[in-house]
Amino acid sequence: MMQFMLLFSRQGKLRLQKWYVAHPDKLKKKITRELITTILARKPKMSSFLEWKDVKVVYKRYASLYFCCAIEQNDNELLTLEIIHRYVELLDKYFGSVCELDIIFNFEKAYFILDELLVGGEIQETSKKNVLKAIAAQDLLQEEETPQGFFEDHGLG
Amino acid sequence: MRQCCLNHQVLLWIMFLILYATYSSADILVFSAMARHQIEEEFRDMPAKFGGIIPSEGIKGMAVYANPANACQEIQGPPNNTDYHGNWIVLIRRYNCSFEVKVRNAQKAKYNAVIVHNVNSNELEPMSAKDNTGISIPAVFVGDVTGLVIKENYLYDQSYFLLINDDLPFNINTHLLLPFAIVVGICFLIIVIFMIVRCIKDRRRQRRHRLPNSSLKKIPIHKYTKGDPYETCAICLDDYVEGEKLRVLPCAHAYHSKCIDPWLTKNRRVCPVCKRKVFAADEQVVTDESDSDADDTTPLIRVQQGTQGGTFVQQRENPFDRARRSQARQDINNSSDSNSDSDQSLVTTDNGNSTTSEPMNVACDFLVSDSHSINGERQELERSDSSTNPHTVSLYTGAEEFPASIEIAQSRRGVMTDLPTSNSDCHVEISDNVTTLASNSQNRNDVIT
Repeated sequence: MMQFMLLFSRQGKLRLQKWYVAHPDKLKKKITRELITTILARKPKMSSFLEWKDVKVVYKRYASLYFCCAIEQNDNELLTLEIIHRYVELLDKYFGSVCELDIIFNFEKAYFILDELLVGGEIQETSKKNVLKAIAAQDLLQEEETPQGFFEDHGLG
Repeated sequence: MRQCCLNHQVLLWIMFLILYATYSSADILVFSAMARHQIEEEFRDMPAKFGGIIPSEGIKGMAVYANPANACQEIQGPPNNTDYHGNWIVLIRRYNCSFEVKVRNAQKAKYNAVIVHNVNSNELEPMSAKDNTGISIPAVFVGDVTGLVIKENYLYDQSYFLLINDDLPFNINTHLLLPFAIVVGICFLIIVIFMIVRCIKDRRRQRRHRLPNSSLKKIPIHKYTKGDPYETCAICLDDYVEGEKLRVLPCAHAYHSKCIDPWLTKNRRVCPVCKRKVFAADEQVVTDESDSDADDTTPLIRVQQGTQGGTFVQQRENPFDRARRSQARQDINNSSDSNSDSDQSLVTTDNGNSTTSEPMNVACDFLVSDSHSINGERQELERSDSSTNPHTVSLYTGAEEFPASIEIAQSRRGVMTDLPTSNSDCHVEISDNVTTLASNSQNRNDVIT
């Protein structure tokens, strides 16, 4: 089971975090900080997998953004790498040539996509098409819900 | 760091030299009695470590050569037949007795200063005495030549004055300008070296940013014809004319070949319009370099990579098409073969009789050439025991979209190479699998589309 997923920039700014295990906030911050420094210090040619404390960390860098997952000892790193890539592909498909700025400004969408892909730290939907369909439906719903004008705002419409 | 240390050393040296020059040398100036303020000659000397100190304005007096020259005994006093009542300086030879004795003798004979000259050497040595009590007159040491010159030319009877100076008159050339020049020169040298290094580094970096000529040739040139999607060259702002050579960059932007080539080869390998890096088709994208300039607007996934492969190697064509083609080939082969039906062949495999005929071999070769591996390594598939259950082609559950047919091809190959009776059974497998394959791929296609 995946324990958590972090997205952070090359400057060490946390862009996205998703925790599938319960930790107090303080511990989360500590883990985040330590992991980011550890990974940012690594050279590009080094392995994407590292054993860190009692978890295995799988990370991959896409342009300016690091995608980092912590998995349990008996999980498969390559599968995790594949999940990361799948997530990036999803983002890419959804935003169209996604870049870090897209994720900064539309972080909720990134979270939605992640939630469609992973539930409770396990992959739930492998089909990109289905995920995107679900997200599109969600967007549609959101648009319908947004009030259209003054009258609607006040329940007069 | 090393350069810095070197610098310090040089500076220390210079400081030391300056100190040395000001501290330990003194001078004997020769004035003519006629023209009081004109310096005739200047000699270096070395003050003694004992005796009186030379006053800051110097001791001016007339010189007498000692008699006896080495002044080891009592010497003659200064001549008293002249009307000169100033200081007297006695010139004494070195050796035969200690400097202390010489100076004491000179003092006893009422001289005001002593010049001891070296013999057969121009070396200046500091004179020292074991017991310097009672010695009140200053003494200096000069070289052999200096002593001779003074003795020959500048004694009192030639009416010259000697001025024994504590130090050299301040010489701006040696004391200020030279060290200053050295320091400035060193600084300048360091700056120049620094600039050269920077320049070389810049050059190298720029060269890395530029497109090499070999890759430029691989970027396609397109002859403009009417109806092409390109209209105006963004560099020269001319509309394209029929037959002009256009260079179409990988980002689908086109320019005049003669406009864009210098930009790519002499400036930077980016498209001037969209700033995308230009790579020739087969050129490896150097990740390190692109890493360094990735900012938050860089696309996370490069277009060249393709988005559907995941960590798999990208396929050249749709694997389903490939599978279908190979099946079609086998169908033809099988039908053209001797009409040995599959059951019969199966029996032969089980017996391990490798009764092979030519056409079968051909079929096998086809298979080999067509079999495709994922990520370059063959996957261990559960080998289907071809005789009993030829339909079980194990697909692992994770294979979601395209790998299906690849694996089928794979399994064939696996069977073919793994079994000892390879040649005959490969076509057996296939002949029986055809229907499964067809249906399989059909289903898969449905899923995909």
